[in-house]
Amino acid sequence: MGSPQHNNSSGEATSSQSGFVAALLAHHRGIHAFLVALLPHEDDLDDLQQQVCLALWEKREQYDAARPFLPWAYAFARNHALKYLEAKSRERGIQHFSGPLLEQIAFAREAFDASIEERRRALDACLQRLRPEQRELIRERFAGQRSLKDLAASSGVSPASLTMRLQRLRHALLRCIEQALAAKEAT
Amino acid sequence: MTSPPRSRISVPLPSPDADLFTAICTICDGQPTRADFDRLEQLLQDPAAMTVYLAVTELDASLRWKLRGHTPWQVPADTRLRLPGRDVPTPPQAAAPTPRVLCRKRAAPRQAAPPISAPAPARRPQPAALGSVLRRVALFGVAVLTAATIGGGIAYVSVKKSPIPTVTPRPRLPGSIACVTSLHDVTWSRDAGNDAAKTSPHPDLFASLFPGQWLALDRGLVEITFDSGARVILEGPIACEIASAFVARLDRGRLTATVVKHAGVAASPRFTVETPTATVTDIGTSFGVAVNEAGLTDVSVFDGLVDLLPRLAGDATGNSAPAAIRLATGEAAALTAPGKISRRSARGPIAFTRSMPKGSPSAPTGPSPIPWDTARATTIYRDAFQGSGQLAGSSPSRRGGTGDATWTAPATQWDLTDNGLIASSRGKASLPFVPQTGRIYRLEATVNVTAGGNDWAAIGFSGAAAPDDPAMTAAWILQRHSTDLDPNLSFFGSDAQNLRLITGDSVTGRRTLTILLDATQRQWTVTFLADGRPLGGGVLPAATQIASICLACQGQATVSCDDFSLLVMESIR
Repeated sequence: MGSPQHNNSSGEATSSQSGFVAALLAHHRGIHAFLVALLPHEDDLDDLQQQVCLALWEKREQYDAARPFLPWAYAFARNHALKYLEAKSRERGIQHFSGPLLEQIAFAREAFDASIEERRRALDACLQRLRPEQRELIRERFAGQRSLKDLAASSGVSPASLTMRLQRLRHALLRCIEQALAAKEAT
Repeated sequence: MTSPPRSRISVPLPSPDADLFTAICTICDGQPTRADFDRLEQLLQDPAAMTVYLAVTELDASLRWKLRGHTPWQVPADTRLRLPGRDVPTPPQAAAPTPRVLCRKRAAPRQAAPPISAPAPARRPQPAALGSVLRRVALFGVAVLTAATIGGGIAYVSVKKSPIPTVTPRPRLPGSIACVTSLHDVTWSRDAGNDAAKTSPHPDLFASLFPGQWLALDRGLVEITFDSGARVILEGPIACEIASAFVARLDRGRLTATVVKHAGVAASPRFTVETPTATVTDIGTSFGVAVNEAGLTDVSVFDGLVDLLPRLAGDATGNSAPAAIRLATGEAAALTAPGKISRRSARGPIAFTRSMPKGSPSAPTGPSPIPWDTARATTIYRDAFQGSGQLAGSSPSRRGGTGDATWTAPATQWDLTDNGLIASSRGKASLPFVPQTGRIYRLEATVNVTAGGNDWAAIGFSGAAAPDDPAMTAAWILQRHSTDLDPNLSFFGSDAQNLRLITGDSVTGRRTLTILLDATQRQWTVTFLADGRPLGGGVLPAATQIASICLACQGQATVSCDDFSLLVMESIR
């Protein structure tokens, strides 16, 4: 990601507070994606993301500018995600992954970051390859915060049917992304 | 900018119906059970499965990010107060006001505005002085008339009973097409509307409203007065877009509209309320429109005539939709299904709120609020950048523009051409400028970022401006060459510590970027627009220092700009 002052290289150094702010802004999307990996079933992660950013800001003096930003940020995000899940589980009995698996996901996600930029670029082109009604379904699912049940009701289909359509669309997009990346690598 | 090359992680994608893929999508889409989590946890012990899982969640995150946007990161006010060396007092928030505002043209001659110069010493408003005025106003208790000149007009605040609201009128911002003229018991919503609506400060009394601006309420009443003369009451819960001076788009909820034609606007288009399933056009009337969760429309006419035209989803031509029907006083109609109208008595199940609650001042009947009058604004700087040589050291007036001050800019690759400025080296160009209290400034530029990937051009207000650093410190808006990875952005704040971020949009190409700086109130505010549509804004921290206006080029971007201007509206005091 770009930012006012930084590119998205995770190894970049931030030597000043303005640099820290810029790094935080630059990696906003990365933190978002990390939280989605930990809590894929949570539709609204805005509050949690704000909490993570605030925690990072409050601990900015501890940040070693010579080290990559994202792994440092991920540690905060993981801790806040755990607290968030535990609280929701206590309050409403919401199910979630176990703590050890969250650790595994966090660890694996750092490695996965290596190809993230290319994947995001490829996604745009792949979205254009979908049929209009497929794009519309994707938009309805991801642009708003309507539940799948609501979407199914308004579309006149069963939730199971809609889930299956989304599953196939996800698969089509991922296959397209993989093909695009492989083609680029081959050239 | 280009990131260092990295090895790609190949995702071993299973078939779409494979257990693993189904298990992952069940977690992502549904309300997963404990058994669903346990099943996936078991599968994810395989590293290849974990890679697939990460690819799916990254896809979901990207789609959410692109299609939904996100709440910008902001350092909360109380946290800012604790920052080292930044003990900036935050003034208390004004109590939620419920007065009605009358904005009408003034017959008396306007006051002469003080001379405009740039740069000039900045002077922030004094809260004590404002408080004194308000206290004196409160002594009258019954009726207050506060006049504020703006472009030859006056804004009146009429308050009939105490408590006296702690607000002062403020002029309309340039480009706006409506303003908030009354509020009652409002709880704003963050869950509806577009990104700008979700991330911007909520409109308060007198707030200017722009084309494309969404208003979303969970509860309460908001009265909007359009430049067309329409006065609309939004009743929460509601989500509504102010599309133009003549069009409101009601996504859900209910509103009432009273359209009064005034001299000079008789020939204007008719006021229209668009809903997901119908278009409701006023024929000089007062009416109510409601949209339910299914998008179906209900219309009641209180007075006059209304045309109701059903629309069918996906039918751009409307050919297959029924013809419009005309409703008269006391009549009502509802769409029971898309395209299917059912007439009924206006005494229907929907109780529209036709006026603001008692206790508010009486309904104004004057013409529309006072718009920004560009003809009366004064140009401080204007530069089309046409010429030859480097920008640094040159002045706009030397090229036939406005402003004698010279540009501070990078020494190379900021070239003047017959078609305007071409900037292709990192840094920013700046002109000296210090805003003054009591005025509205419009900084605007037409930019096109023709290369540079995720890198960008920006315009903005800044403190001390270093030519080699494209970042600014007060309020700025950036436009990227490509928004594949990130949207365009806007920033405001007193410095890096107080920097706040607004997510912009994903539009690329040649665009007009605008920042409105309203220094007429105790708290200065900024509003960001791109091609005239609002992206958001907010209150500048009290300590914000502005000493320059800037045009910036980041990283590998190539930026062309052929119109850069700073205008000021005359003082309202």
